[in-house]
Amino acid sequence: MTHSLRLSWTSVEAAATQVPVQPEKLSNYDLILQCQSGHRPDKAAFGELMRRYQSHVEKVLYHLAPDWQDRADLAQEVWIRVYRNIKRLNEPGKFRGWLSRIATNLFYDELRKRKRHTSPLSLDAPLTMDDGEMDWEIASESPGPDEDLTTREFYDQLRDAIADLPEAFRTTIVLREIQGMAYEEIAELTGVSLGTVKSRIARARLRLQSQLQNYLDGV
Amino acid sequence: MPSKFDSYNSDHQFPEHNQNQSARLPDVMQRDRFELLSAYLDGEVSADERRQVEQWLENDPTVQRLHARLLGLRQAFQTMPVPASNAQETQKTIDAVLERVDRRPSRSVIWGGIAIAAVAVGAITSTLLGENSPVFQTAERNTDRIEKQASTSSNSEPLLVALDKPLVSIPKTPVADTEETNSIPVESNNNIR
Repeated sequence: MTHSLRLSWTSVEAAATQVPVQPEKLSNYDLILQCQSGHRPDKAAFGELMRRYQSHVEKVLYHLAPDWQDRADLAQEVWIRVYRNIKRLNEPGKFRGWLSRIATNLFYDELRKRKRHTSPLSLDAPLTMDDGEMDWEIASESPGPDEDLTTREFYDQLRDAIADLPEAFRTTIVLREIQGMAYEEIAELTGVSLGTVKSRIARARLRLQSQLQNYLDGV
Repeated sequence: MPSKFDSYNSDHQFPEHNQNQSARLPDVMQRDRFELLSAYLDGEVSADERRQVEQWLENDPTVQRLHARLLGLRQAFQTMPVPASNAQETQKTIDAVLERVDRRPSRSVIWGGIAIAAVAVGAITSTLLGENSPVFQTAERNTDRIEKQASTSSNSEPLLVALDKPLVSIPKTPVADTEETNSIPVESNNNIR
């Protein structure tokens, strides 16, 4: 039985290498289709897929886990999962969202493991309200922009402000703004109610817009 | 710690009377109203709520300003660069991933293998030991055959006649008319016609 399986794999791999079009020249859609053909994704095609979407994976992971030092390992795990499951993706046009979800799920798996070993963030937070770790009060101590403010400085400020958000709020706003998920999806993924999602997103936005108001008003 | 917003909670109850007051509070906005504006931005509001927010957007400078900020924030989320791997680092990641998928058979294959093995073992076991095993089946068939033989030996002729007859009734022909050895099929043919 096992012997026959191996035989079929090698034949598939041999067939895949005979693809006339180079993966670099394929559209994203066709590249995904190429990766879905055969028992296992064609390596050249899959490498090209990674090349095109690695920055997206890094972006998602960066915002979800800005203080983790092993995001590169996590990114590898994301791609391993993609490699194994890409055939299950029914709509290649939705690859980006699917990829984001894999990265997010992996992040949450990892977060749960780590939370077992470390005390939750909420214990460190001095302010607790009905939803936990973040107060509605806005602190606008951020210095006003200099005359020669550059966009880069604004982005630096924004990155820092996002990273400073308590974990539950940061992940919720990232799932919304970076990944474009609907509230219901976020609620399902994070295991909280729709009302909590709505509240967390609003509170995260409130704090961010307050901290960055001088930059945002100038946009 | 009471927030600045808490002191304006009551304002929300009468938003239409609150325009002048909220306009004097450029940096502060009542919590529920902000939450509604935020949800509006995401298209996560009811039709009534949408109308309400759109009314604020028409009339309330504070809401207008916050809305503009939130749109700017959304834009920034999309365009903000993050530390990313260069081409070399990306290639390293690609190589590492492809090496790992080569080295380790996928979990699904392992489980698939286990499942196949389990099915095989199950099949063999049930074949050798099950109630419907060939051994018993052979025995049953033999006894069946013996019983049939015993039953048919006494009255074998009708069975042979039945087997000799065609499954589809033959159209009526002059030859068939003359041979009315068995009247029943002929009658049935007539009925069908």
